[in-house]
Amino acid sequence: MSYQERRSLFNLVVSIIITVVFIIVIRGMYLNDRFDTTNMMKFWSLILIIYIVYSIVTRIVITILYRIAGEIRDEITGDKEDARDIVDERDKLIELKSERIANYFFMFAFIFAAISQVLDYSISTFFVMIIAGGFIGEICSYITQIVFYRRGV
Amino acid sequence: MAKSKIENNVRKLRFLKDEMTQSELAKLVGVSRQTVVAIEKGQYSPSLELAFKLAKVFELKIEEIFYLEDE
Repeated sequence: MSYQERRSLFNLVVSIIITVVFIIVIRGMYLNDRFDTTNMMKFWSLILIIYIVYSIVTRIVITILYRIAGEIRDEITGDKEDARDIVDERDKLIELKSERIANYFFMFAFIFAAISQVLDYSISTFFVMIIAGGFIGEICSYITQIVFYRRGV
Repeated sequence: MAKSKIENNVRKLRFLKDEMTQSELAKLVGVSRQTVVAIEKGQYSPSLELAFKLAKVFELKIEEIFYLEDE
């Protein structure tokens, strides 16, 4: 497995872990009445903002730790992984193509979320659809990256 | 119109160029070794810029390295 494949797989696993931990923590807080749920719009907006900030911060920290672990591994084995510092045109092309898939998922999730409001579903349905669409899109983009790295672009 | 695929002689040319390794070639043209592997396997068609860089390394014209093959 190449460095790029490992990186995509790592991002995939991290993404799942971050989201699962977030859901467990927020669900626990919700069940303990830690949130004001009288205004659901405000509640879900807060959840969305917390999720965005939380996922960005944890991702940065985990990426730094992953890099440090890689450098330590290089020092121990004495074998420098050249691909780590190089992001070439193939990487950018694969990233673009996989991001396009993630964007499609998010776009459809947004459309279905809007339809849910037209059909008088709750505001929770709207936000759950948007968050789920973003999450599934992200997962699909990492899987697509692995497939592109394996099969070719 | 018939579908065509871009094939190449990179592997052969690399061998003829003092058995240059994939890593050495990758360093010379500024890409990762995996990208050279993908080009050699025909899994990735490089950009014009990268094709020119490869041509410069092998001191050949682009069409002597890359060619169209009908599928």
